[in-house]
Amino acid sequence: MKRRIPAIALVLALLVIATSAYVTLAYFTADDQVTNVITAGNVKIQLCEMMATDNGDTLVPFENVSGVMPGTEVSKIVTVKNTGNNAAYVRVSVESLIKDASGIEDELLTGELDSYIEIDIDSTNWTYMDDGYYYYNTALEAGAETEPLFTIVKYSEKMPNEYQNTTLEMNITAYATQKANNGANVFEASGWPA
Amino acid sequence: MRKTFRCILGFALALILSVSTSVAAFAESTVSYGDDNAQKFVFAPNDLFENFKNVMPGDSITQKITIRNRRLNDVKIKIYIRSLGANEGSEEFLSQLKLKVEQADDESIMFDAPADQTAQLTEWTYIGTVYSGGKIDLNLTLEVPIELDNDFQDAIGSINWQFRVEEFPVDPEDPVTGDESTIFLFALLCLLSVAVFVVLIVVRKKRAAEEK
Repeated sequence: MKRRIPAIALVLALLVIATSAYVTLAYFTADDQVTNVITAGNVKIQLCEMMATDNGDTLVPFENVSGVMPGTEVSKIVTVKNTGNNAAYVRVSVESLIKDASGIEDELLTGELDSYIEIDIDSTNWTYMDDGYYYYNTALEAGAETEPLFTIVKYSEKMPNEYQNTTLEMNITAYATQKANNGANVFEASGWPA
Repeated sequence: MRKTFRCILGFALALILSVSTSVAAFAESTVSYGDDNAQKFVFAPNDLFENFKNVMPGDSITQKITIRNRRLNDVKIKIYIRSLGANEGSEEFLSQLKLKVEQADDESIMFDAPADQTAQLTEWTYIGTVYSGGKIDLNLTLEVPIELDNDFQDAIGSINWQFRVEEFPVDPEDPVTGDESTIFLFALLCLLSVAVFVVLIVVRKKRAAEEK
């Protein structure tokens, strides 16, 4: 009987310890999952070439004009639209060349072209730099459109007969780079597409 | 006189409403545990990386995530987090970005690695213990390299995180803590709103009785 008492006491003690441990360790748990998404922005532009109709009231997409005579003008309105989600800096290159009737470039006439073709470049909003690009002076916000780089291509009255039956080809290319984290202005910006 | 009284009441109501909404306008993501005293998490918004959208090369963007214990009874919760990594197809984009997660209180870093990796959050990682009404803030920073290639324009990457909670009863020895947010202000504003409505109704009834 005397030996039983310590055994019962031991069992009771163990029970008390186990119960208190159980109480301390008891807890509810819950898990849940969340999907977190990171998206990258973009820089997208669209070069717009329009022309005024004969009465000048409406703008329509530019179409090639034939039979242009010296002393006349061709309407060609060049703008750039920001179609992306972010503000961008914009620059444009304009390459003009003369092709003969067979479609081959006449380098001699191309070289003299500046004397006979006049383009009304908007030098208020665009700045021509030594690298050969016209830079739009301000950043173009998402959805915005630049002021026209030019609106008229004028053939000089002095254009010589050598230009008869030739084609003036204007290759215009627009480039954009992000405004964010990219210099204080368009002239300091880098990352222009090649 | 009546007109003036009406104007004042209208102004007071508008003021109460505007104050209520402006106080509630937080720009952080929240992980709440125990809303409506339920033992489950609520993520608001559903995507905790609310600020990490439309990221651009050279960006360094921060995101605050607040984890709240909203259980009404006195329970303390231990919060854990682990990352399951990037979803399939996200790896290449996310590997370009660097993500850092740190505790706002002591600025201890919990995660600092390319965003596609699980790194220090591969296993369940203890965030902290939060008492009823308390909170823990995490500060996240996402670094986008300026050299990020054009190919990643409009790229989308997603990362799965898991949260785990363990509930414990509060011991009498535990420090008294709680949410020190503006719950009192909200309660006061609610009471004020009710009082104003009651006054309006009483005035209207009184006026109707007078007119009869």
